[in-house]
Amino acid sequence: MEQANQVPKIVTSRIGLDESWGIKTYLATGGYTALRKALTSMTPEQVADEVSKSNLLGRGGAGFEVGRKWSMLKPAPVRYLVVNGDESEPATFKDHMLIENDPHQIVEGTLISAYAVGAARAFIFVRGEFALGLERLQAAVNEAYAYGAIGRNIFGSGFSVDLVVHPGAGAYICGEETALLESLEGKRGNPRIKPPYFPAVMGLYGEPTIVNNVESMSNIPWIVNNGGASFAALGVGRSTGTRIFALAGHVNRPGNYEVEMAKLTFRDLVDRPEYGGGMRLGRQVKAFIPGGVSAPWFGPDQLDMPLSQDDVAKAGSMLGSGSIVMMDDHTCMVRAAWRIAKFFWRESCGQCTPCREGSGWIEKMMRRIELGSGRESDLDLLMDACDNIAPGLTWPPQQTTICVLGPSIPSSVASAIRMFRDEFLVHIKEGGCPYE
Amino acid sequence: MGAFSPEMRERAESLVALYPERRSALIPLCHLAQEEAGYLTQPFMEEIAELTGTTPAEVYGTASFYDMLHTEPVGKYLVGVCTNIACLLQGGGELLEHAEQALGVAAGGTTDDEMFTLEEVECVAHCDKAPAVQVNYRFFGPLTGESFDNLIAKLRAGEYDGVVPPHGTLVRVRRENGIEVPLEEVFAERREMDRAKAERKAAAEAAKAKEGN
Amino acid sequence: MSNAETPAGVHITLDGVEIEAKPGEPIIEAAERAGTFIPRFCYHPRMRAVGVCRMCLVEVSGPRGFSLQPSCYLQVAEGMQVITNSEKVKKAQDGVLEFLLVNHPLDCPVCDKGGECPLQDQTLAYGPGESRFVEEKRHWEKPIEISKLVLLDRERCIQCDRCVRFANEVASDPFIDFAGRGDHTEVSTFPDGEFASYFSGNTVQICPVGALTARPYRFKARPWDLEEAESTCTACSLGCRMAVQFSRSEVTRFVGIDSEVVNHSWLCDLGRFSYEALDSDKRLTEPKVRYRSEMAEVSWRDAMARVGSHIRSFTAGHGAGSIAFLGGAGFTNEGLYSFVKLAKTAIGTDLFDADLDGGVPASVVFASPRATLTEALAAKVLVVASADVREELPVLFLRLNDAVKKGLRIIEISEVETSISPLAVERLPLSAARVALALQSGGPDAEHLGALVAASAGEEGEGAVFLLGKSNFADPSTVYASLAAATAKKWPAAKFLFANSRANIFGAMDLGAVPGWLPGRVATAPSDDAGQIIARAADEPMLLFLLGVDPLAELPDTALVRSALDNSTVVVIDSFDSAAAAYADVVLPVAAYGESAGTTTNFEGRVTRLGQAVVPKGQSKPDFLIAAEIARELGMPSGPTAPEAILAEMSRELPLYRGLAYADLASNRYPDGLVVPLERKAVSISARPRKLDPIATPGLIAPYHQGPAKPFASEAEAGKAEPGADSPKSPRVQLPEFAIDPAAVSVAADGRLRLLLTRRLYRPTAQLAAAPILSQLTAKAEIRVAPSTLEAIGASDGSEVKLIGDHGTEVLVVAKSDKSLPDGVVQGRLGDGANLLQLVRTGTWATYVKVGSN
Repeated sequence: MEQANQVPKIVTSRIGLDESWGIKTYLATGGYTALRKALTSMTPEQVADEVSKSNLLGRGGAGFEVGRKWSMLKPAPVRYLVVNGDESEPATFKDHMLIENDPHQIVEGTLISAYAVGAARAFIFVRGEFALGLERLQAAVNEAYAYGAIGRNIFGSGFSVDLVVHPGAGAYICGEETALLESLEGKRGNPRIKPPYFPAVMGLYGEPTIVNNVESMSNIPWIVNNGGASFAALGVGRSTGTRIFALAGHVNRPGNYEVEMAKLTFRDLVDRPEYGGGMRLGRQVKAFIPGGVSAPWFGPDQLDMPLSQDDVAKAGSMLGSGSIVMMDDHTCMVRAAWRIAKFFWRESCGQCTPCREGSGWIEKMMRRIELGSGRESDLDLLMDACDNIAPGLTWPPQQTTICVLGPSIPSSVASAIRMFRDEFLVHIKEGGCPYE
Repeated sequence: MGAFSPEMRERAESLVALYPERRSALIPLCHLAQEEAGYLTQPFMEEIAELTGTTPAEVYGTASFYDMLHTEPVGKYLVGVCTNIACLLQGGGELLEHAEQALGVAAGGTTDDEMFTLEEVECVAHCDKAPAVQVNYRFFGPLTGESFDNLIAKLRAGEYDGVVPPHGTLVRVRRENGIEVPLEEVFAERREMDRAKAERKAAAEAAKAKEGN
Repeated sequence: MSNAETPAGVHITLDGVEIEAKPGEPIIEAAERAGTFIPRFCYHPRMRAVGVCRMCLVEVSGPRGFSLQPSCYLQVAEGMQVITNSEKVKKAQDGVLEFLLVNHPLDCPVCDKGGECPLQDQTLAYGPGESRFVEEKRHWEKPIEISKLVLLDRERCIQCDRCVRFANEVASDPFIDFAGRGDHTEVSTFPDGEFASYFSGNTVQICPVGALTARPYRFKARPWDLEEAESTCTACSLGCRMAVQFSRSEVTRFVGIDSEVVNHSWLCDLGRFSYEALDSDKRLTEPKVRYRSEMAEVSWRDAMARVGSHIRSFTAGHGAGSIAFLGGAGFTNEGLYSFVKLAKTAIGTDLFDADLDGGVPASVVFASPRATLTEALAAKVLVVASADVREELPVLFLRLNDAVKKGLRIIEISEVETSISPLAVERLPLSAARVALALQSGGPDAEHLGALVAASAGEEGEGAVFLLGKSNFADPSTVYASLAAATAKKWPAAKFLFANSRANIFGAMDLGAVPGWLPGRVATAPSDDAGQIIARAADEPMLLFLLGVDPLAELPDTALVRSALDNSTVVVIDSFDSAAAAYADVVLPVAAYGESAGTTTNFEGRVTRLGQAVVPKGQSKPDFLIAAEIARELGMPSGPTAPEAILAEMSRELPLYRGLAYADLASNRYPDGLVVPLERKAVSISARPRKLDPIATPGLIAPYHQGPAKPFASEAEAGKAEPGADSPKSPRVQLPEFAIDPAAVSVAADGRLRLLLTRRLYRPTAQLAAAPILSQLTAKAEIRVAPSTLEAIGASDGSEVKLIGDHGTEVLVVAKSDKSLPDGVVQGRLGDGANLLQLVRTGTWATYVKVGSN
């Protein structure tokens, strides 16, 4: 991976190295020095302080400060740490890369965090479909046990913890942290009803639990080695450090790019030769999704917005999982939105009514329009059905559902209808898709 | 008698031992059953219920929630063509149609020789190589119709045998360590850590108060 | 306990009006009490709130302004503002209803739920009025059988999670679960399994749509044709409150009523579906007398003449002591009172025993301070020493399961594992005789039990409750009398409940239908019990009245029973045909359940009303009328012949019932009945009827008081009435001394095993045999032994073995291996096929058998 400016690569420094996933490479590139440092020369609260100072925002999608999350942990003798590697948000593929290519970095970050929060046991929940990732992460854990980085009295520090790699079994909803905990408890992956809002209060087995994303954990060793302040010096405002953006769709060079937060714009990422290299076939941007398919869409006029959590939020969408999907002017917006609606229909857990029934109904209407049997009244009906899941269709959304999968359903459908109503009408009037 | 072979039963029990509560092992055990039987048969679900302290109805109810756990037989190779947004934009839909014709089954179907089950799958996080295909959760992409046919031919010929294990075998790397420190021991260690932390906090506050004076 | 008045309420604003709410209660309950009904599907007041249907969304104030929140789940908090009537709320509720109807078939005309369907009703009340859904609905195979009793139509299911929660959390029978995901989520059993729960009918009762239906009820009636009578279940002595629903003179359904103090709306399947037998051709509907060897239908007058002449001739020839009454525990209090009066006054015989189980005797029951169920569930510690509660008093198991989750500490004394064992903090694997002996003479077992009780309730047992009952049906009742007496002596401050499980056995005791007692808990000279009566009847000429019992199926020593029946003149007074009826000289058909009014008494001493729904079938008559007519035949005054009047006489004549009036037991006064003797202050307080939550139990018609406790004191006060303590006019009974013979705990040295007989809920009785679907659930008799025992005789698990009794009786029965059983014991489970009771001989302290390979 190339990097134009002098910004350090914090989480992707080993990508591309020979056997980047093995402990040999890891140790040769400074691996486990941060763990040793934390365990032998820092108190848990000092580690937590550095993370707080870094203002590291969670990289899973919600963007909640990691340090603040840790500080909410209810004091109790039994607490757990769960690392969320269930990356399933469509067009997001950064955690997949990290798990396969730098698993030791995740393990090290996890162990440091377990020390900082005093976890009794750590679990890394990996999306079941990541077979290679599971193998490499398990191999890394085996190596780390042998190296003395996991288990009893790590590095002679008196701190002991076990770490378990747990495979998922194929359900998008398990990326939602409370659904993930249910799944880790061996149950159906239904998100839990709130309150309590935070697993830090009531998590795995009802005990206080910290749930952090794989990329978040990958940042921890660097923060411990370089200090929270150095991390916070990167980026703008609340958006500190670097972040991996997963660029996909109609660009010449789709891929994962680690860039400094909030310094570049969407256009930079798409057009610069070291990143996206411009739109495929020199076509124009018709629309793009700024942060995973749960996010409302943006149009070409928003390309110059910085890659900053707050700016994107202000404009009515989110950076979410860090996935950016570019759609060129040859794209059928009805089909794109239908496919995303179909995704949510297939992935709804089915526990609460508006999501279970609404997702299927919306998918059926979208399919009908794309296939040429739409009615003009369907558009208002679609918007109203969306409104009954996310009242007001505002962002951040309100919801009639238990979890945020509900209000994610309308994001694409409502965006497409609002931005491309004419295209829907063409489908309806011509009785089919004009792009076929 | 049990559905797991003695060796797998031993692995199953060591999986159960990794978790503070045994029901947590339910999904790993389902993967293990699929490794042994190719899919999740009823006798395995009954044994998993016994291992995890649940009822067979709960094992079935839980397993059926997850796409990767199959309570009906599937082919030796589970071929998943991604048609989600990133792949759709790169021709994933067309690739699926091609795959249906090439294999002669609709998505969800299994070929007569029980070699292939075709699935339309959601994003497999391989979007920089769209359109992407997974075969028993090993990834291939970007694929064209032609390279898809090639892949199928090679799978049939056994050329990928080392790379793509038969359906059911998810992870070929075994965990080498049991739980090194029993939970009760860890709890005691944490209580000690918390006590030390409280002492440090009190000392710091006392120092601060002294400074203030 | 939950009945206590809330000490400090919290204040919330509901639609602009400040109301007071109980801390910790959900908004939906606070609103309902204030008169605002919030629509709901998944919420059930007796189950954990899950907030999945989203029908009860209301606007609630929070740190970031108002948001839509599920009012069933969110608890009230001081200063909370709640809006239930805004446009936003209305739209959300409209939207949820429309979503629910997306995949719900509109087959209401042929749906059993049509007319009493919360989905239908709330669509009318809150819905958008028309569906905008024009797509194809989801399809499933139409009803599938998930058990012999329950069918599931998955197309109608709205995934409210009531049935799954009930099975998992209330019944602890998680044999159904959700399967699949998204809009393909279905309720499912294990593919090869079934929903084998004693409580499956409750899922039908609480289903808010027509997804779950009961086979016995399907297509039998339309809800708008149904009428109902409030009543009490008589399947066991717990006395679950229920509504008997009927249509055109036929009982069509039983529905549980939510009694805070008894059954929380639940019923067991045996109770719920027992009405199946009412219309069966195994009913006795005509009086019959024997002419030569044939039974012939006759008029009541002729039958009565025959009964009268028998009584006169036996009295003249052999004395009144040659006439005995067995059974009656299934009768109403009014019937029992009338029969006891007939026997003990008009005829002059002392021989009357309603307790064919030989359970804890009345002398112990009367002398022990009795707890109410509410007290037992709130006890500091509950010691359970009885046969498996789930098999004997099924709904009590549900209440205990619930109470344990809320903190009740249970200690179990049982030789075998039972449904209570997983709930108990500890199970002492001891026989009742061992414990009784240990308590009498001390030793490590007594010390251990003492320490366990003392940990919660001190040395005196203050706040401890003991649930005592027969745990081995091969034992004589003396074992249990000794255990109860020794327990009461060791823990003088403890209270008791007794697990004798026949329907109205406690009413029978109170009314003197047991040896040694007269009506009103008044002692008289000791006399023979059922076993002794049978033994006498085998030798001497006797006239036996069988009141709703079949001694051949229910008493031990079957050979002896057979010769007694052969040798005696038998008058059968029953609703159902039985093996014993073949020995009858006269058969008098008695009105069955739901065919006559009256009262019944449960194991707490709680008297409740039995409702009359339909007229007695054929020529059958209510029990009290039959007694009155026999009395008239004998030239005696028949006394009152209506239940109100008989109860009035009881309350006038017997201090035990003083203050109790039939009208008081109506649903708007004391819907949960009253525990006798009454505490005087309780009588003047009346319960406030509460509007029915039409969604909790959709089938109920009348607006009963039901649901969780309201802050009104009537039941709490009445329930605390302590027999013999606070009520100066009630009789005082001294606890008799019982000595247990060490023979009861001796181990046979010659390889014989001690027989431990237990029963299951579905046991072969005449009424069960008459119920076509329920009778399929009766399990075969079997024995269980330690694996080593099977090995020793070279038999395999599940093979047939031979049991040889002391007097040479041989029984072939299937044997199963059970790791939880100790050596030296064989657990026999009564059931269809082999009659294990025949191995027991009356008058022995313990029964031993030899197990041999067949």
